[in-house]
Amino acid sequence: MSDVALSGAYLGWFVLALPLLGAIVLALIPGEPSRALTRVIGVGSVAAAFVLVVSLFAQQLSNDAERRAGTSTLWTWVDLGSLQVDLKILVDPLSVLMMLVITGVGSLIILYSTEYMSHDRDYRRFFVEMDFFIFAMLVLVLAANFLFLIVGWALVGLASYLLIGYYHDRPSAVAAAKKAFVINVLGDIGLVLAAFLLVRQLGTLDFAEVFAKAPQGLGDGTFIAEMVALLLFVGAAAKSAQIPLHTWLPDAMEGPTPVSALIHAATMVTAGVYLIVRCNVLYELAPHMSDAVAVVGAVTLFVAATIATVQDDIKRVLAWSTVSQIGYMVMAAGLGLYSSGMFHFLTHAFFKAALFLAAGIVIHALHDEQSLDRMGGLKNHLKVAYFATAAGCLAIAGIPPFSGFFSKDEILAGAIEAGTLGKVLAGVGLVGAGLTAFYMFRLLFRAFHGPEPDGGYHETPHASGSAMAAPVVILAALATVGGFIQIPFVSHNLRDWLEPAITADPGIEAGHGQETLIIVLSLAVAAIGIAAAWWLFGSGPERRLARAQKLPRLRAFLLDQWRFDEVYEAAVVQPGRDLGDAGVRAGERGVGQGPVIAAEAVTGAGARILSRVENGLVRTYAMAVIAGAAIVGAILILAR
Amino acid sequence: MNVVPALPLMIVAGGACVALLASAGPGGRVRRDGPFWAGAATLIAAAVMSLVLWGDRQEALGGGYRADRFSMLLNLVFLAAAFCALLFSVREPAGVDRRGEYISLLLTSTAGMMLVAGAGDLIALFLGIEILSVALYVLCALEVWRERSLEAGLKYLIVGAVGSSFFLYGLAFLFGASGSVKLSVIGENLSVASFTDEPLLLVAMALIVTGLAFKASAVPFHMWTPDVYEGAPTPITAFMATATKVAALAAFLRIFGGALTDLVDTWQVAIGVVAAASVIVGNVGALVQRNFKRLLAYSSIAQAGYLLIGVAAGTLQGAESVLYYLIAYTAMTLAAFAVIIIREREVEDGEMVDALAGYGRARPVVGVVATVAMLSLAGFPPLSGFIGKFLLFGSAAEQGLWWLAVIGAVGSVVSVAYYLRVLRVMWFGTPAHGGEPRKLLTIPAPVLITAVTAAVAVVGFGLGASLLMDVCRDAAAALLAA
Repeated sequence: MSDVALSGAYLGWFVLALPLLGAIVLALIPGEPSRALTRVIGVGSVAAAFVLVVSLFAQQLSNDAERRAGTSTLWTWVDLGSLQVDLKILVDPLSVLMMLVITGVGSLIILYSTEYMSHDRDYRRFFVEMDFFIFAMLVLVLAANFLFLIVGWALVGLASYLLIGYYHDRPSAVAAAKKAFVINVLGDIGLVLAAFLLVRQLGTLDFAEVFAKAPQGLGDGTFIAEMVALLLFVGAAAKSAQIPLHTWLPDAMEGPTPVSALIHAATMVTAGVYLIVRCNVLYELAPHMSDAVAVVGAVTLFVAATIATVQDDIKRVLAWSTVSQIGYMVMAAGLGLYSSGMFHFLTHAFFKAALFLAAGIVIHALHDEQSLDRMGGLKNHLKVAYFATAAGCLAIAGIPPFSGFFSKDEILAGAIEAGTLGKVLAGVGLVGAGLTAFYMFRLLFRAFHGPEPDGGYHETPHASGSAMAAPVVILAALATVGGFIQIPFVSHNLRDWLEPAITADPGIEAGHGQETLIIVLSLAVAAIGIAAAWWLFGSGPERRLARAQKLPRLRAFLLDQWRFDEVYEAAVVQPGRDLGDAGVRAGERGVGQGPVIAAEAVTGAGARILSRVENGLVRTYAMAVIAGAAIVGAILILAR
Repeated sequence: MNVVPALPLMIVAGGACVALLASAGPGGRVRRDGPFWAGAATLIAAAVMSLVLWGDRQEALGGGYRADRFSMLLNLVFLAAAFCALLFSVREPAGVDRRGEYISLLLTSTAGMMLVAGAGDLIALFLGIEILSVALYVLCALEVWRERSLEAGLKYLIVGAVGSSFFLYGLAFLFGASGSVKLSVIGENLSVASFTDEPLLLVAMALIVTGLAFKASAVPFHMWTPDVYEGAPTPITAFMATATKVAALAAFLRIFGGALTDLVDTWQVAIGVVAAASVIVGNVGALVQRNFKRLLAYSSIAQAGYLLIGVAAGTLQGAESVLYYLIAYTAMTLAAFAVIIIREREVEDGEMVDALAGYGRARPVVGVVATVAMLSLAGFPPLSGFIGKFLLFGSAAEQGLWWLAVIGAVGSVVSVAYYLRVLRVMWFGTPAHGGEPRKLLTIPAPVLITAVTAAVAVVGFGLGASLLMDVCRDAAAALLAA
């Protein structure tokens, strides 16, 4: 089955099959299976997949660089004569890196959920959906052609929809799930249209063939090449919550916390970064679009960081922080720093998962309390969560030797080398780094330091059991030391490792001078950020409340999240609703509740008008046939 | 005269008579079960005969009927749809009360469709369309004790007569313009001379598009669809939504993809506009429907639009995609209607979407069938609905018809909203009358088996698309074979 180099590539199918099998078996067990069995299947299937991925990884390590990639084909999937698409997976360093994170971090988070979700009535459904998500995500990264990639892309969207709306009796969760799904499907359309363009221009959808033919078939910097890159980026931006398609991610925090950790921090939302890195050849052919990608990433990282500074919900701070950190990755990918982007993806998976899971311990201990206002002094009660959060904060703020330091500095130092635009964006990134340090330590100080709220907790927050603590400890440890795989001046293991997958790497490398400059500057801004956080939030709520009054308008603006939702509301949703109301007033009453999303609102109004025309009178229908015939005839004559 | 190529058609027509006679036959058992078994045996025999005839073109009835890969493939689709409708009708009021007429008319309509797909000349084409329609008019109204059923039949009859007359006019003009009723000769005659600007031909095309778009329920000839789909007995609605649409698209392909293929530049935009309008109106209309049958009616209007996008492409690849999607569409639509049929017998308002609240949890198997059907109709990968749409829009994009590909894709996004609504109600909804959905009856085995088979087919056609596409390519190639 396997055709080239890496002889174990077919194992990828088993990696795919295990979580799917886990989900199916779990779903099909009649009656209510025992919780122990649910746990074993739910965690075991993903853990087994992880073991397989590790064996693939070991095999790759033992091979030379050229023999680390392999494909495996099940059968020809779509055959149009001119276009042939196989059910084919690609196991190469890039996909294995993604798979290691998905199954590794994934099994830790699912293990954590066994305890976190223990009070839930619908225990089994949670694990079915989590395993299904892992499967979908693996399809996304293993696909060896664009059609199969789209399958994974859409399935991931579906899994995310199910898990955001997990608490389906909460209207806010259902609304959030729907919003996420609609924006995701919008992205899918971008991908599908890009695929049409590729078929038309190159006659193939296979990654290897597309990337081989693209330089001739698309041309360098041509309109078509830019168009392909743009459409792919629509998909990437929707999935990775980049401005202006970012508004779904903060709302997605309606899902259970382990879901936020796995899907909306570590894996799914980085799919966009993966896509850009995977299509590095296409982006190198589209210089303008690459610049645009970098700018979008930089704008996103800055905007999201500013919003994170005022959030009071612990999960929303982390959500905005995720948007911001993905902004760094997207910016890196846009600037051609593909391996740096992937490096940050890796370290971010560790520290953000650790932060979310630690937040989960807090939320769990405080009986679903998520507001920072009702936290404080938790460091005495929840030691594990405290140290994990502290490690995560140090990592994300970029304090050596924590992992985020290495990956963020690599992006910023590389950016300086990437032309004028890169220098400007590096500046934005530095400001963002300062904000990051500020909002993360704000979270740390408000939740864990200072006095306890209302003079103490009613019930002493209970520490979590080992199923929750162990994953947090492991992830915090990885967040601490994970950066050492790639140390400035010393080693670039990850870059060498990814080299076979990033064939169009422009080879931007920061000189020692720039590297040192960035280290000094970023440490300085991080220190300023931490100090500011301490000054405002280190002592307790009194000083914070006094300071918070200083800039009420800016604060309100940030609290409104730069008013993106309001603009969408005013520009799309409200006009649609008005139109719909007018339609309702005109005759049709009681046709459905207020539409939730923009598209539905606009089209819903049209629908009601259409329903009016459809008054059930046969003569109207016959008239329409005659009118239609006249229209068709007119078109035939005009279009001749 | 060689009649062998027309045997599948004749078997079905003969079976219709046998079924009718059986219901008047001697003995209570024959009268009770005879029509059903006669119908089932007829459909299976015709399917076997169609498989035997699979191969290069053979003509019968003086060239009026052609048995080629195109017509034989579609025969199988019609027969499968009819077979499913037959199974759905087990214990259906109309199917029990008037089983002889019911099954006989079903078979008659199927025979008409087979004649459409295999028509070698314009006369056979028109005859086929009329046979299938007249039988359906009666079937719609067969639940005579229900006002809505009668209304549906009458409406369909009156508006259908308008559509048919347009179609007949169009065929007459086409005959006038080309000098022949034979599809193959029409193609030859038109390709010799430049007929592009012939007004007679343009009028013919406009009228033919009108007549066929009416049968396919494409916009702006769609208005009867929601009323008729809602009023007709549900198994008949399922049959109409699938087989009739397949027949109409077959006629589109026979005339525009086959005979008039050289004039593609002339008719491409007109059919494209009809397709785009159908996608838009169908999807927008479906958004506010609370009745599941009406929702599927609007959805079927949109689906007709997707299919016509493939016709508008005017290429072999387009025709192949249309055939693939027709087969996939038949499977997913049958699965969707099976859910209504099951629920309809349990509660009075069973055809409302809200009647399905919590139904997925109460009946997981039906829930999964509905989920597969809805996701596939929405074009969700990797199901066959996705592959089909990808091929259809891709074939339009290939021809530079980007506007059609984009409208199709955007329409699919909108459609997600209402298909997903059904699923949300089904899995997460709370029944109005407390915890459990009211009244669960035993599902008749034939209905359940059909539903599950259809859902499996939807998945299988998706994952094994290339196998089905090989068949479809051969069938599409037969359109142009000399």
